[in-house]
Amino acid sequence: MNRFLDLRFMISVLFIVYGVVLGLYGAVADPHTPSLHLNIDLWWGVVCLVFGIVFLIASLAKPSE
Amino acid sequence: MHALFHANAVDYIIILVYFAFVLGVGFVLRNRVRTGEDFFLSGRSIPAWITGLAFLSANLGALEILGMTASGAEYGMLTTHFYWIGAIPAMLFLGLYMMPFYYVSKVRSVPEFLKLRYNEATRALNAIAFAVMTVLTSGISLYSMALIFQILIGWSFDTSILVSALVVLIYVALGGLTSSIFNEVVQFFLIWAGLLPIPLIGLHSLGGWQGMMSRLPAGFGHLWANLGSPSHNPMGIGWLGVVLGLGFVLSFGYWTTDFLVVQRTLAAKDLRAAQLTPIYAAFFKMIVPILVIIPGLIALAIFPKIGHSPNMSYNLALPLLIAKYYPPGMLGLGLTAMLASFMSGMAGNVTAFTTVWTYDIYQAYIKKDASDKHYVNMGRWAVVVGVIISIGTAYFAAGFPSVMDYMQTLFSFFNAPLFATFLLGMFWKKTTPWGGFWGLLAGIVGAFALYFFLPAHMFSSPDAGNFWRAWWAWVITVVVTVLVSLVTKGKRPEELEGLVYGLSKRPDYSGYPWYKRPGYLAALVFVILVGLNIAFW
Repeated sequence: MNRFLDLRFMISVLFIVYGVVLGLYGAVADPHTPSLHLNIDLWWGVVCLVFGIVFLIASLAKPSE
Repeated sequence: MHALFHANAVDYIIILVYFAFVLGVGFVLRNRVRTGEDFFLSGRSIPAWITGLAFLSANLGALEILGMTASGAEYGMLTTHFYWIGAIPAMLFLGLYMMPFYYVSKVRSVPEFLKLRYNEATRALNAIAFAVMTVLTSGISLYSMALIFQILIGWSFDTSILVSALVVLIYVALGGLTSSIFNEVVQFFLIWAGLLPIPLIGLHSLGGWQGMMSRLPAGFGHLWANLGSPSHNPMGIGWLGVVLGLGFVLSFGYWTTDFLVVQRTLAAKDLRAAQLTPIYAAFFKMIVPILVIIPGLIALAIFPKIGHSPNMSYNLALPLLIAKYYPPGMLGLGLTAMLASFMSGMAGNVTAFTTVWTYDIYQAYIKKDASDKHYVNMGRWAVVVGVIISIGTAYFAAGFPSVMDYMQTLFSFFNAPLFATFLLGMFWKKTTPWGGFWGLLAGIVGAFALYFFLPAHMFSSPDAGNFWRAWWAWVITVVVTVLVSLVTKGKRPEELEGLVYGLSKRPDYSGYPWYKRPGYLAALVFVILVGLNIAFW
């Protein structure tokens, strides 16, 4: 059973890394495209980070079955 | 050639993180693979949410994403039929009615089931057809990937092919089916992370659903309203073609008998998880149009010239939106999502090929009684050989691109005869072993004949052609199987126990709450499906 809890952990690692990289780049470089006045890197980075943290918590919690 | 995007350092970092991640998963899983059951079936120990997502993602390749977005821009909401009526009923049927036979019989592959129900000849026919088809498909998708990345960001064709084939080879050879399944689940989340901002931003900037629809041709928001006659809709099909060809034969043929997807259900930890696999997948399948069809509609609303201008083909619908909305950073994530779906699609084909080769060809006909370890080693070598053949096919495809189009079309209705063989075998106990064999053979030959000898202009559109050819290939198999079964000798009832409806025990889940019972969940999916079809009538 252990290794399949690991998948949740693996997904959380990937998304936390992506959230941090994307969010930091967004905060530092403030990139934008001509048609979009929104720092999408920063905001989507935060979304990825939150998603990763949710999976991290889920992987640390005891399995329900 | 001038590339559509210019990728920055941050984009390459995001792509490299993904490569490091999938290789890491392969190495972590390496030590856990000891037996053949571990390598080929993930030890039959995976919970349903994982097999369910893998079941869905095995089919959600990047080609499909680009193609369906293109189709959304060309035909509108009609394309959604491929996701709803063209998938959901078949997935529910697999979970409720077919899984008990597949899973309980303890088979390791679809051809092995055919051997139990029919005979060795039927198994050999299916195993060889499937192995050839799968490894060619894998090569075709490798070729398409290299081509797309060349156009999008100017990567060299050879480098794309070699790097991604090598990564797939390493992680599948190390972790077997488990590696493949894990990467499919990761890909599922990456696709959403990489592409969901497009429909969100697009719909927002167009003023919501109504705002978007007001810029599209009349009828683009409807599923059924214009299907009364083939001439009333851009796809050139009528409702009967959609229901029989797509909804029944094509969809059931693919989702219930293609070993690529069925293999994911066999990895589930128990019968209930196996039954829930396609049912969970159905919930997620219903929302995939948000990622593909809606961006197609947005592309048409924003670029009205799409499809009618030489440098704006429908196939560029999604890339054009990415170029419009994504700055560096998001671009890397979007490219990673596409790369992930290419690679996991290829890995899925390679694992399915490996299993069928090792168990249904090598163990059945070449070396019968070797040790379990021997077959695991053979499986790892089959991964290497499968990847090498895929690379060969990819270069062949580069030389003869139109041959690949034919093959893809042919494969798209190749499963129709097999579905007839399964349906009769599982639900009509008088179907005989040779009835099954000759019916399947006749259907496959019939599918070829219909494809190569009927003129293309007989059908009002390529989709309509596929729908009707699939239907007639299915009919041929049913008729031949029934006729041969009437004059040949059947199996005894005790040989068919657990393989045929009526001679098997039905699973009983009365002790479980409703949200854990396959029947109730399937009914819920069905109600949502009907609701969606009415809402977008």
